[in-house]
Amino acid sequence: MADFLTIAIPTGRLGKQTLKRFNMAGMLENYEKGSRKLILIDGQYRLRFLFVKPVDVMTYVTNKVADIGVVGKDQILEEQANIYEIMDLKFGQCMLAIAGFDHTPLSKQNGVLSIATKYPHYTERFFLERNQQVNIIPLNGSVELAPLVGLADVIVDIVETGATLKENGLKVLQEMIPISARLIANRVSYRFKIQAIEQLIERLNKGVGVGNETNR
Amino acid sequence: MQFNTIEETMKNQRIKSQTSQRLISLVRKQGFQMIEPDYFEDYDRFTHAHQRVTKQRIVKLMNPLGEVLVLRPDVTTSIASKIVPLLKTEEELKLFYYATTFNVGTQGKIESRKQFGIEWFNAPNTAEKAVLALIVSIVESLNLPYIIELGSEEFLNTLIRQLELPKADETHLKTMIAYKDSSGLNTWLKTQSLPNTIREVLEKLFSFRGCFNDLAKLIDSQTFPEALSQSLTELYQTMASFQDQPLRFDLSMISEFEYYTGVRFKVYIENVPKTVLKGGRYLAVNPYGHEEVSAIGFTMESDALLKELIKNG
Repeated sequence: MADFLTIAIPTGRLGKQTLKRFNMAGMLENYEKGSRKLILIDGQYRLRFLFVKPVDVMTYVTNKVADIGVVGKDQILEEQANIYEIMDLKFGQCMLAIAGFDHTPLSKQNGVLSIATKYPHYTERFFLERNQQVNIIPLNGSVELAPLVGLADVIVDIVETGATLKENGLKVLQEMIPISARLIANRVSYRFKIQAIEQLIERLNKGVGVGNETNR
Repeated sequence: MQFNTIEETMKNQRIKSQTSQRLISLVRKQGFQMIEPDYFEDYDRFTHAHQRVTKQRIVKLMNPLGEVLVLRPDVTTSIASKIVPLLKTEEELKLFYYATTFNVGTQGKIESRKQFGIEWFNAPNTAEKAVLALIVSIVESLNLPYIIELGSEEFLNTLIRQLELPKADETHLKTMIAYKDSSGLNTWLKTQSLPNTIREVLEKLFSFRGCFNDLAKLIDSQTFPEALSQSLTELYQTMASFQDQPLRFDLSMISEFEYYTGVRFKVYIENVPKTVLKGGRYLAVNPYGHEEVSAIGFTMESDALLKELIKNG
């Protein structure tokens, strides 16, 4: 298996889009929907797929159990792990944004702005770069609840359509950075398996009928 | 169920001890003397000198006087501040260390890493080749598949200096390069008004890598502006004597530490998940004064390497 390229595929919503993209490139076609298999081998292209929870993809890649993985840009920004971000897969597109009640000021005259978020590290860096001290409240989900119950002034979260915000009387106050799914590589694998990685990128690009999206 | 035994523990200790003795013996033969770096540095001076180092990852402490200190995340700055003020002009000094560095991991835990390395102050122009030969002898002695990669900090610094970017934009650009984020770089390039010569180099930056022959072809193709040719020649000359070894170059190699000025080295070992050795030519500055000297050095992350050596018995 040493000469196989191991790819960590996220399960869940991001995983479905990843499978679709790999299928379009003629890979993972034998994957059975609903299967509980955690490892799948593609002998033709010498690929080994690991199916893991989205939050664990980075761990598998940084520890070189997987050479390659698919993660959201939001996770890359939050974890700042030692990986390479080798391709924008252009799906799972959304926006990391500051949201809250209309007209909530982002700079508080008397006190520090409190922000509830699943992205505490990135949020802190974002405000530090703008010389603003903030109070970060880390949450794991239902972040929109925080301003409604007075836990935080605003939230930082990914926004796709804005429907959840609207339903809860909130709106985007400031867009921060566009997010999409990215192909990441372990930095050592990138040296030892560069040809296989380049071939994979080429196949993924050809699968959607576009030119080479990377400069490798 | 058999948990760790005293025999296994002592065997691992023996491998660690034998490896460190072997490394120490190799550098002593080349005239390097041992130094013990300080544990603490001033927080403001350290973060000012290394603006791309993630501040959340630095272990900070406050002393009884209320001063904020850094528990060393890197050894080079610590040794430079101790040695540089004492050096006479052009006085060469070759040192090595076997020390622990500290940082905050992604889960908020303090992580310590054992590092082995050398620092060669007032290193002459021939030092790059001598250090590369030392690196080759070290990695050959480990008997594991490896790749040595070379880059030029001066190449990227010259290129980026010409852009005259505000500091925040420069940091953003360097971060994209460090992650090989071609998509982010291409999007950024579309928003910038740049001279064509620089734009072309940045557009193709991640493709400028390969073996010695690829570098020779790249230099012959005259793709690069004149200002960048000196750093490429320096890289070419350093690689030329090591064509039998698995050496590669990568012109997008960039460090989070701002002190590097010339040729840089990195070593990758096939089954070790991280870079095991990194270093290069740098400007050793005394952060408490104005003295600075040209130096060359490298650091080995010995924990990850030892794990692989133990696995291989």
